[in-house]
Amino acid sequence: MNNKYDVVIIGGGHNGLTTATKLAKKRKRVLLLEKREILGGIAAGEEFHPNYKSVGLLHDTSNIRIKIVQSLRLTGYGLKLSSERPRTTLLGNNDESITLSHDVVKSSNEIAKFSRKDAEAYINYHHFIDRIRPFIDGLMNEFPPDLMKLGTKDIWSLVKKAIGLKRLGKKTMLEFMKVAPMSVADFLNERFETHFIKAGIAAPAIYHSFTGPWSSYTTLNLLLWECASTNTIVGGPQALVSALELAARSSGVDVLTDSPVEKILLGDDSKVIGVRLANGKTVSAPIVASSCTPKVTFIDFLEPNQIEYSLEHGVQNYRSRGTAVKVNLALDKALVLNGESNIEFARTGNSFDEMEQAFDFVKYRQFSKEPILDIHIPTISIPGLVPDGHCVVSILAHFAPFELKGGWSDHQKEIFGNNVIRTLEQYAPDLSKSIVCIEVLTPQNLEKRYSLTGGNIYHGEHAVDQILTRPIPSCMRYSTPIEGLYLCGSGSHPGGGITCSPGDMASEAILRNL
Amino acid sequence: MGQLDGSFRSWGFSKGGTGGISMACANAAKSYGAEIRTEAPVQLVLIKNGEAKGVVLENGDEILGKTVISNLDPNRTYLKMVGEDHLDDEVLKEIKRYKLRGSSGKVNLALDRVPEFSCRPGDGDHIRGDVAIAPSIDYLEKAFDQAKYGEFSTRPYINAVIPSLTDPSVAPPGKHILSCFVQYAPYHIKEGAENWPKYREAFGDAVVDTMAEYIPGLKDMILYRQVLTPWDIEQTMGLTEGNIFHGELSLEQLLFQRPIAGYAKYRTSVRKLWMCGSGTHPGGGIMGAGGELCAKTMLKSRAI
Repeated sequence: MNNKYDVVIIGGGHNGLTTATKLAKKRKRVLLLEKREILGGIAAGEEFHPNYKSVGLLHDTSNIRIKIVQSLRLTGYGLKLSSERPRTTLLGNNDESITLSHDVVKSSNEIAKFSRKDAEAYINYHHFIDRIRPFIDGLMNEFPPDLMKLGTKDIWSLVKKAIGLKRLGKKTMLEFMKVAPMSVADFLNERFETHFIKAGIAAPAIYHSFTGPWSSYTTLNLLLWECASTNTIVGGPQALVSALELAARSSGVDVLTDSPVEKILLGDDSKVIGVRLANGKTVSAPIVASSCTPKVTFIDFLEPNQIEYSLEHGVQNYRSRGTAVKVNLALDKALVLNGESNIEFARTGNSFDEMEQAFDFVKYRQFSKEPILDIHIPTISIPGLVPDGHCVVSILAHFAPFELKGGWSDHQKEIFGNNVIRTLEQYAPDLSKSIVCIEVLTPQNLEKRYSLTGGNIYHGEHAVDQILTRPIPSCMRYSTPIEGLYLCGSGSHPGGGITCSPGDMASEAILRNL
Repeated sequence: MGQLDGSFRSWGFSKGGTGGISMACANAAKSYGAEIRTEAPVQLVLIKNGEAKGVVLENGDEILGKTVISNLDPNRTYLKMVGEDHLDDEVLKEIKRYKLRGSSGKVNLALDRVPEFSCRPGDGDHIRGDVAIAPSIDYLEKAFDQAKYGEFSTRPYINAVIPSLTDPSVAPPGKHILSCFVQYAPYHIKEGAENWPKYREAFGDAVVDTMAEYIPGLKDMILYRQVLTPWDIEQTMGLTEGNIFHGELSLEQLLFQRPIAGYAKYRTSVRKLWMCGSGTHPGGGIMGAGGELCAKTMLKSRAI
C-alpha cells in the first residue's frame, strides 16, 4: 500500500468496475476500493440463508447497454447476453395473468384473450416506443452537454438533440411532447382498457421513485425504461459482476475489498491527492472517481469546509428517497402464480387506483398494506442457487419509506414482510406453507449495507429535474467542482439501474482530462 | 403574472364583484360600437363548405357574420358548437383527449357580522386580503388523496375572501360575504357527476365545518349559503366538467398545445371560426390575455 495510482475508484459495483476497467485498458494504474467483502454492489448475488442464494438487490438486467458490454469484451470473460427482453407476467387479482415476451405480436395475441382493443393498443404502443427510441438513445446514451459553460460544442450537442427530436417526424414528435409530461395513468388510460394490464405495463415507471401512477411525468419514466429495456443478462446481475471482475483484474486493476474509504484527501490547493481508508492507510492518486451516491461522496467523504455552500446545497437537495423494500424468499418448492409455474418475472398492480393507494402511504411515512411487487424468480433459469426443487423469490416491494413513522423496528419489518406475503398469496394461495426463510431489507438496511443514500437503489430518484442535469448541474458531466474528483455511479447521467452507462461515460470524462 | 395599477404581481377586488371586470369590458366594447345580446344562448355554429358563416341561437334565430369567435371552452366549441361531422379524425381525437376534469367548487356564505379568526382575532388587514386554509403540505395532499378516488375533500384547501369589507356595495349594511374557493371537489365523483346534487349540501357542510375550525361561531353567523359544485358550475355557467380554467393547466395542455397542437394560435380547424377563451394560450384565470392575443392575431392576419 501507500502506492501511487493514477486513479482510485471508490465502490466496486457494476459502474465502479466499468470505470476501473475502461481506464486500466488505457494503461492507467487503477485501484478499486470496495467497502464490502464482495464486489458487485446492488448487482451482487449473496447467500441470504444457508444454501439459498439471491441474484442481486436489483434483478432487472434488461437495461444493460450492449455497446458497453462489447467495448469491455465481457463475453470473453464469460458473460452471456440474450438480445430478448425477459418474459414478464402481469398478474391480476381475479386469477388473471398475461405473459409479455420480446415478441410484440405474440404478446398482443395473449392480450387479445382479454381485450381486442388492448391487443391493438399494445402493438401501437410498441411502434411508438420503437419510433422514439433513436431520440431517447441519443439523449440518454450520449455524453451530456455542458449546460454550465454552454460553449459551441455544447450548443451543437443541444441542436443535434433538437434535430433528433425533429427527425422523429411531426406526428411522433408532437405525440412524444404531448405524452412525456403526463401521468402514466392518463397516458395508458387513453390507450388501454383492462385494469391489470394497464397497471402491469405502468409499473416500471414508478419503481424506486416517489411517485404513484397518477403523478405527473411518470410517462417519461416509462418511456425511458421501455426504450432501454432490450436485453437480458443470462445468469442475472451476478453473472455481470463475475465477468466485470474478471475483466477488471485481467486489465490490471488492483482490487481491494473489505476496504471502506473514510475520506477523500485534498491538497493545499484543494485538488484531490488521494484517499484515506477506514483502517488509517492512505493511497495517493491525483484522480478519485466515486461510484457512491452524490451525498456519500461530497458530504461523507469530504470535510464541510472543503466544499462550497452552493455544492452542498445542491447535493443536500438532491432527492434520494428510497421507497422499495427487498424481500428474498426461500421456498422448498416451485412458486406457482395464478396457476403457472414457469414464471420468471412478474409484476402486480391490479389497477391504477390500487397502485396509487399503495403509494399514498409512503407520503405520510407509512408503508403500504398491499404493496405492489416487482417479482423475479431466478431459480427458473439458475436452479443451482438452491437445493434441488427449491426456489428463491426476489421481490422489490413498493412502497415503504426510509423514515418510517415511529422508526423501523424488527416488529415493523415483520409486519411489512407479512404484508408482502399476504399480497403474494392473492396469486399463490399455498405460499406460506413452503417458506423456508424470509429476508426483509428495508430502505434503512439498504442504506447501511450498500451505502445507498435514503435507501434509494437508483442513487437518486428518476424525476425529470434529476434526469436531465443529473445529479446537479455543476456535476452533470462526471467531473465536479473539486479538481480531480469524479462521479461514476448511478447518481450520474443517465441514472440508475444495471446499465454500466454512468461508469462508462465517467471513464470517458476522466480520459478527456488526463 | 399580472399587475394592477402598475403594481407588479398585485391583485385586488373589483367593485361589485369580479363581474365588475366583465361589465367594464362590456361597456368598453359597447362604446366602440359592439352590440351585446344577453339571454341569447347559441346552439351551434353555422358551417358551410368548412367555413363558419354565423351562429344559430337556441330560439332558432340565425345570425350571420364574417367570422365567429368562440369564448367557450374547447370541448364545447368543437364538440357542441361545431359538431363531430365537421371535424377530421385527427382533430376530433385530439379534442377528445383534452382534459377538463374540474376539481374545485365554490361556497358563498352570507354572514350577519364580520367573521373573526381564532388565530388572529379582531379586525385588521389580514381579513381584507385573501385567507388560505392550508395548514400543511400533508393537509393539502390528504385533501387531494380523496379527490383521486372520486370523493370531495372532507377537509379541503380553501381560499377565502371577504369582499364586503372592501366593497360594502356587495352586501346590506353590517352584513358580510365570505366567499370560499374550495379544492378538491372532483367533477367525476365515484357515483358519477350527475349525482353531485345529492352531495351538494354535504360538500357545503364540509366547507362550513372546516371554516368553523378557524372562525369560532361561524355557523351562527350564516344567514344564507350558496354551494356550487363542479356539476352546478357546468350546468349554470357552461363550463365543461366544471373546470373554471377551460381545461387543466398541465404542461401537455399549455403553450403550443393549448388546446391542441396545430390549432393553438386562436385559429380552429374550421375556417373563420376562432377561439379567444381560457382554453387558448396562455390559459385560465381572469387575465384577458387569451382574448387580447386572439384579437391581435386576427387583426394581424387580416381575418376581418
